[in-house]
Amino acid sequence: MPLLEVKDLRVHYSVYEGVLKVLNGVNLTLEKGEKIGIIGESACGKTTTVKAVMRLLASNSIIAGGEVKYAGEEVLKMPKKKLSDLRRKKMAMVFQDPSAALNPVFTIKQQLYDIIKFSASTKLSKEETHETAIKYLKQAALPEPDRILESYPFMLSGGMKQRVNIAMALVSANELLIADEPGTSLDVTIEDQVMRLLKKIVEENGISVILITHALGTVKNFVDRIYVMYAGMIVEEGPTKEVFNNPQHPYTQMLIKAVPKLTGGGVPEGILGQVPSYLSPPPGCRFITRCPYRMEVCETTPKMYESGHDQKAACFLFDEGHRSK
Amino acid sequence: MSNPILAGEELKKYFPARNGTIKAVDDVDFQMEKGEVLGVVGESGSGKTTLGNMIMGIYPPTAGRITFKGEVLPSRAKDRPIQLRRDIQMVFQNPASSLNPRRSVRQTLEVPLTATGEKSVRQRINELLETVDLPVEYADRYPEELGGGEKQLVAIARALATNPSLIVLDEPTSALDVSIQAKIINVLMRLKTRLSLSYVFITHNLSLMRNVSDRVMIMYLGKVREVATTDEFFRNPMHPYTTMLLSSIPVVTEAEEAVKPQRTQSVGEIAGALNLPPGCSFNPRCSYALDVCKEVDPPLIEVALGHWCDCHLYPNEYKKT
Repeated sequence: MPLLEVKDLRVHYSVYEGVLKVLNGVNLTLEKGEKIGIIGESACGKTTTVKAVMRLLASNSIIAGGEVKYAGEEVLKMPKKKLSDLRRKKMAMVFQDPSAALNPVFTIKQQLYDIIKFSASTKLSKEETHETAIKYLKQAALPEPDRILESYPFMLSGGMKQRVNIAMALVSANELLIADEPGTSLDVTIEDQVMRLLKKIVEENGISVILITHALGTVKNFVDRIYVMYAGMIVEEGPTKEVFNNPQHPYTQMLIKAVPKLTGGGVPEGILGQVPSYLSPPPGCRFITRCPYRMEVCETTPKMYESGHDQKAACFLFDEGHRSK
Repeated sequence: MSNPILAGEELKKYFPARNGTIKAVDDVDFQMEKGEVLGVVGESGSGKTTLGNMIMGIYPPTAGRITFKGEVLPSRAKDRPIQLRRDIQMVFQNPASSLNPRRSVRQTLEVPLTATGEKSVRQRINELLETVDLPVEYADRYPEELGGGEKQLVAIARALATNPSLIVLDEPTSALDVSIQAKIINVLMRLKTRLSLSYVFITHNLSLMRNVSDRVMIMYLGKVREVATTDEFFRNPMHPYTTMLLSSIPVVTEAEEAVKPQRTQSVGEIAGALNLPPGCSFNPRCSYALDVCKEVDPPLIEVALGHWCDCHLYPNEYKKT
């Protein structure tokens, strides 16, 4: 049984203008100890997907269908008590902006102690709490953990704040860590350090990971499998190496091509146009507005077609009947 | 470089702070030729935006001077004659905040046109929109009706309105998705050739610089650490900070992985601007640091033809005579 299974998940948001049909049938699976990545442009539903897994969706969200199974148990309909247990012991999330994820008016000590007490199964003494806090800060490679505990967030650099967030997440993430763009707001040398640290920790402790990012290079060195998302749909999935070396879906191909290369060769064309409005998205394949290969059949929704090398792509180009083109 | 369009000499910008002085830009010399793209690369706090703001006259330098087309630039924009202000323009990082949400695209573009006494404003606005690949109907739209990339194209059109010869691009694509970035960069590069522009391109993205700049200048804590032509720079990166930066870049292809320096791994963090370490400001993070690095800040020397680097590892015999 996979650790996490998302099936045909549909999440909508109700806003003043109407209903934003954001997730349009997302499927993904995560085995125990596996690291997967979700990549795609901004506003493609990456964060909405994992927020649904954590049951952290905003109050104007509507779950229009689908299921999220964590170790076989349905998360979307789980009673509060059980959900709370899940968040205490099993899974946690690292957010994109380390400054926004910490409360500016409390010291790290107050915030980290809260989490440790929340996730502990028995009542901890003061000393035990302190020891646990130091243990997690050290694990996140923070120097002088005692000084960090007494600090307010503004006294720490961005890289250190993100390490504190990782330490906080590790307290509860015994099985699953969801990292939503953990390095995006950091400088490249610091991002490199944070990502290397994170990889080391999760591999040593056998924690499964969902890494969300729009930085393709970051995800490449981190995860085993990749899901490519576009406008609320998974358009391609496959082993990391295959997806990068042999992208199948036109969107993946164009996305990888658009990244400026360190080897030079000029800046490629990019992808013209933008992600369609979720108020009235195209009825079939949502990439149709930007796709150079669009056909008539693309006005209906494609299923995931096997495209070799363990890869699957949601594109009619991989359907036998339409491959002639 | 015989006849640079823009040059900075011993430029300094210090900001007073409650407990000390922040040396945002500290003794920076640079030159750029007409038609060149000079990539100014560095992490947050390296002083690259401060440098751009001094070129624009937003901040007056604490010391040193900037020359433009052979003449010394008045340090404040308000002291510059209108022709000079026309000639140097800027595009900011975040188009969502650099465009006034209450002004339509037309109203935004009208400002620089009327300020510089343009007669046929209407026609010029249409021309500008065409120049940046936007449909002329966009003139009556408001920023909220535009995508991020389109907003940045409007900001570029606004910079072009006064027919500048030099544009300071301050991270023009870092707020945008990579698919949109490509479009903006292509427009910028096409305009450069067509309108014979020169760009000071400020960015933290070295992969992007590999593809757009003619020369790369690396800044760290207010100092220039390495300058070289782009080809030379990527073939032979010298400064330990540069190799650390290059080795940290997440890349997509195996070919790129092969050109990354493997010997340096990123450690430590950029020092606080208030307590700069003595000697070379990079020494606490440098795996090659010598004793001398903790005492003496190395001078910028020409290590190979047109390749300047300030590091004690590169001995004096290379020094330009």
